[in-house]
Amino acid sequence: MQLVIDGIPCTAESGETILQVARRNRIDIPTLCHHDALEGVGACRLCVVAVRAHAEAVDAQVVASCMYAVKDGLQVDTATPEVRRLRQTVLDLLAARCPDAPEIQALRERMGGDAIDYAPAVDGSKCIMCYRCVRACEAIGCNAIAAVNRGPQKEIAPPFFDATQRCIGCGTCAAICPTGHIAVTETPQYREIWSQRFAMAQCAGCGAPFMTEATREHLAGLGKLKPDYFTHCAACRQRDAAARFVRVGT
Amino acid sequence: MRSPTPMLIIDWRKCIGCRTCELACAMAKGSPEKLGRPRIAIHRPDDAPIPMTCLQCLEAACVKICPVGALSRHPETGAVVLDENRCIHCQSCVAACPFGHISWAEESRTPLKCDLCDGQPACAKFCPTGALTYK
Amino acid sequence: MKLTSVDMLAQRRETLVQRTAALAREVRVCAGTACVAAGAGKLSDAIQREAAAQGLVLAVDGDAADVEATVRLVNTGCQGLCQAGPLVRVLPQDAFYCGVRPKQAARLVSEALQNNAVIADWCAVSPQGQRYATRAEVPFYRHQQPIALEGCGAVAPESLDDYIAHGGFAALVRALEMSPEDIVQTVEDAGLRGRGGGGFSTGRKWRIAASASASERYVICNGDEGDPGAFMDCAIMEGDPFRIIEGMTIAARAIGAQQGFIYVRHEYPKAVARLDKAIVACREAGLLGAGILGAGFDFDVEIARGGGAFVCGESTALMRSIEGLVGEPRANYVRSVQEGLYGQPTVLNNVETFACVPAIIARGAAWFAATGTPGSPGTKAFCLVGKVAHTGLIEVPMGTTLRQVIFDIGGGVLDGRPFKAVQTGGPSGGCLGEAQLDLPVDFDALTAAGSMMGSGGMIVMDDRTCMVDVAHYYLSFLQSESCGRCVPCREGVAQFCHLLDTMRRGTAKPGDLDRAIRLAQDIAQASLCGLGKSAPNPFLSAVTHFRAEFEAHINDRTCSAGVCRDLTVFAIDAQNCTGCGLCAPACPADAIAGAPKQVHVIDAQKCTGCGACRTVCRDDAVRALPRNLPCN
Ligand SMILES: Cc1cc2nc3c(=O)[nH]c(=O)nc-3n(C[C@H](O)[C@H](O)[C@H](O)COP(=O)(O)O)c2cc1C
Ligand code: FES
Repeated sequence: MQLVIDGIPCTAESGETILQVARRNRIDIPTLCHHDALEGVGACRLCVVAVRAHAEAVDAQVVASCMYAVKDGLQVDTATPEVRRLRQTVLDLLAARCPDAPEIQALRERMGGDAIDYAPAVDGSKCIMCYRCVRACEAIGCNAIAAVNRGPQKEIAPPFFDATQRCIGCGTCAAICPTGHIAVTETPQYREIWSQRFAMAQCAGCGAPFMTEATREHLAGLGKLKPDYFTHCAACRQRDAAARFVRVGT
Repeated sequence: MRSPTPMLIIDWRKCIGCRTCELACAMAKGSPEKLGRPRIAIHRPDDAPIPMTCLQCLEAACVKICPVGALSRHPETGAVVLDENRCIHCQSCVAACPFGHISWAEESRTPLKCDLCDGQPACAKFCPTGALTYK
Repeated sequence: MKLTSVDMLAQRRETLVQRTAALAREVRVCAGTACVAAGAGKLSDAIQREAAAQGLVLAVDGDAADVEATVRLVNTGCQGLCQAGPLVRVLPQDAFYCGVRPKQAARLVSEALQNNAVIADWCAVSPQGQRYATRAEVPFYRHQQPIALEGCGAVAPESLDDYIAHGGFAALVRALEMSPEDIVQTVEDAGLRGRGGGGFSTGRKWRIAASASASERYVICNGDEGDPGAFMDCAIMEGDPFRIIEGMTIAARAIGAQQGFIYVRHEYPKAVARLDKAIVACREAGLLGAGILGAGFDFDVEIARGGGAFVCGESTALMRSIEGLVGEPRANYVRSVQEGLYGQPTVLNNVETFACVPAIIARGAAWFAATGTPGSPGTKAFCLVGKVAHTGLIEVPMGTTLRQVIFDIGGGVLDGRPFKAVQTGGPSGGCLGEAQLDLPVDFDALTAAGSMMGSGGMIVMDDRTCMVDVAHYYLSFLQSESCGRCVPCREGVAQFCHLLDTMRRGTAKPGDLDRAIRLAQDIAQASLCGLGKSAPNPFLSAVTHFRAEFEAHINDRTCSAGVCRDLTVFAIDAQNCTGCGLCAPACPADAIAGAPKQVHVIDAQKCTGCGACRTVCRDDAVRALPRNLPCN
């Protein structure tokens, strides 16, 4: 199907989102919660664009481009004054919520609109509630964390804010967090995340800690690969493989 | 059977351990200001040098374990490549490679692996002895 | 007994109607929530005891089988005039008594039930002293026209037999004779619009769901009813549960669904219990389950209980909640009639919408469309609450003006105070002022005026209501009820509350009103679901109709209504004060002094602006004055 984004005719497959088509055509739409590999949540609303059903239509509707599936003949404007203002408001609001998240402050400055300083949160956290951690955890198959509570009290946490068997301490949530909100403590013996301590697995070769025991069990338990894949760190595996090759080759 | 795409062939008997491949890779994966982390390494078991890098396995363990399908085979180069926009940084691929060919870059929170330089692997290009060839 | 054919149902009805006809009288004791709280349960027990003592055989509730009985006692659902309970209605005279106490049971039995007498001195009296001998004459009821509430307050809620005797399931029989397409067409021709708030055409909704290709379809009844001050859906679920099941079954027949859900909030345990009993009774009677009435049509209903989150009334959040997921809305760029519950086409309608359906099918589209306005046919139930003389549950034809509802039915503002505003549509709706009183209540007129129909809450406010405070109340409700998923709603509404709070406290800065308006517009545009999109309505409508009041709060730091404590001190008007002494003990700050029968004085220094003195004063002698905060 055909649609027009910022005056540029674009071809798209049905089921694609406006964001996908725009990015393929190198049209920039800012996003925060969107992640290519994760199911859309439409939480941040930074990616809003104005759409009209067809070229003659006058009524524009503001939609989240990361969720909105394209339609034939759709006319998309990614930077109308209104859209810019909405994005500015979203960033102003997030900046007030997360005064200590430099990523948000930087993005806000880059917008270059009329910023409004809303009342900053007293106990400002760095969490922008993008749900990336929750969705990544789900993708891994653990579902150890979720959004709990409602309204401004909403936060990401493990069930009952307590230690949970579901968490394997893999640290993906922290790695995917765009603002570094999720605290991780690393020592050679353990990793602490979500106030839960995970023993590190030591490499059978060099003895270095290379993943948590729980992660190892999880990966081995997937049954996709042989469990003995998960006994050595990558460096040792490469070293051993080199030795094997030499032996086989001579 | 001949592979439909070219392959990086390692003839370690020809390797003299000069580490030109590591440097070439570091340059290819870095910027003019800063060298990148090489995706190839010379190992010396029993003192014989052997270049070790991703074999682009046909049944790749890394592809199999990735929970979000961020690793896939490039149709033209045959390389197993990472879509960085899809990566969720779980390190499963690092753990899964039986040869340890994927390393982890803590700064950028991304797995590092050979992508055959989009079909023009720098290591093969600069290898002075023909230990690394791409054909 | 299982009814395996339409004929069996007809026979059953015939038997039941004959039995009912054999009864001389029927006394209906309202067992709605408000009346029970006022002692209706004790009254009902007293009547039964008294009847036994006087040798009168009573048939109670659905229990019409007792052929010895000459009088029936029905503990009904809400009869409407909640403020004056416990209510008692005696038929066939149609006598109507308010506030009946258990000790009055003896007289009720001996005079009204043993004989045909109307107990004149119990009848409601008009301000002019006229006695209303029948309920139909009472102004509260005179202007009403019940369709959705027809059975509520009339039938015995837990008796399938009684529902059948009142004509229940006749519409289903008709629907079974009609083709699904004809059912959809009838509902569409009737012009029925969703009573849950949005006002979408019910017929069109059913048509889209029926035409979507899918192996399974669902019918859901939205009984979440989260609006503060609204209880009409609760009243129908408690008072006439079979009507909802019949309406849903007809919808299922029309769209080809086999499974239905009624989503009820946990805070409505009685509704849940009644619906549960009704579903079991229908299954036993062959009115739900496989092969309904022997026709080749299967449909069953399950109750899904919600946790009482306002946002779970929103269609997509509700469906997620039924699926067992967190009740957060999803972007509804694909409509749930096409991809709803479990990804299948789903018809979601409000309780009241379903309650209208049997009447439409039984009496025809033209009959329904003859009531109301062309754009909004039929009637609408409202919960008339707040500062109004008669609070309660009403149902009026669409197009009735706000003035008629508030003054003719509601009897005007409580204690004769001046009218200030009426809030319709709950937290998604808005406040309308004096100038809008002649607005007809229908979907389009209310929306055009900046409010909305909503589910039917109608809160009347007098001159002692501060619009800034009201806007703040709704926004703080929405702040805590926002699911918290999207930024504009979660953060925006919280900031908004904060802005309104600064206005209440006198710390707002010039320009804050414009800032608030811009934020309101942005929240409305950028939010993910209907909650956020409509969240600024209570504020925007208040600003439209009461702008000066907002400006006075910001620029002059005054609250003319005397509600915002930081801006107000109270003083006693010596002209009116009789020295009755009621105010001094009511003051929590010990700020009032005065000897008995002498004019009292409030120490402005000590006054906290709480207004307790004003509330207790019977002589209108307490005045709210500006506190004159120093400018900042
Ligand atoms: C925040 C929010 C809360 C809602 N709450 C209710 C509710 O309590 N009851 C209801 O029937 N509809 C509610 N709705 C409307 C429903 O989403 C839906 O439109 C309605 O149930 C459809 O039924 P109808 O067409 O019969 O009105 C709510 C909508 C929103 C956005
Ligand atoms: S990127 Fe689309 S809503 Fe966040």
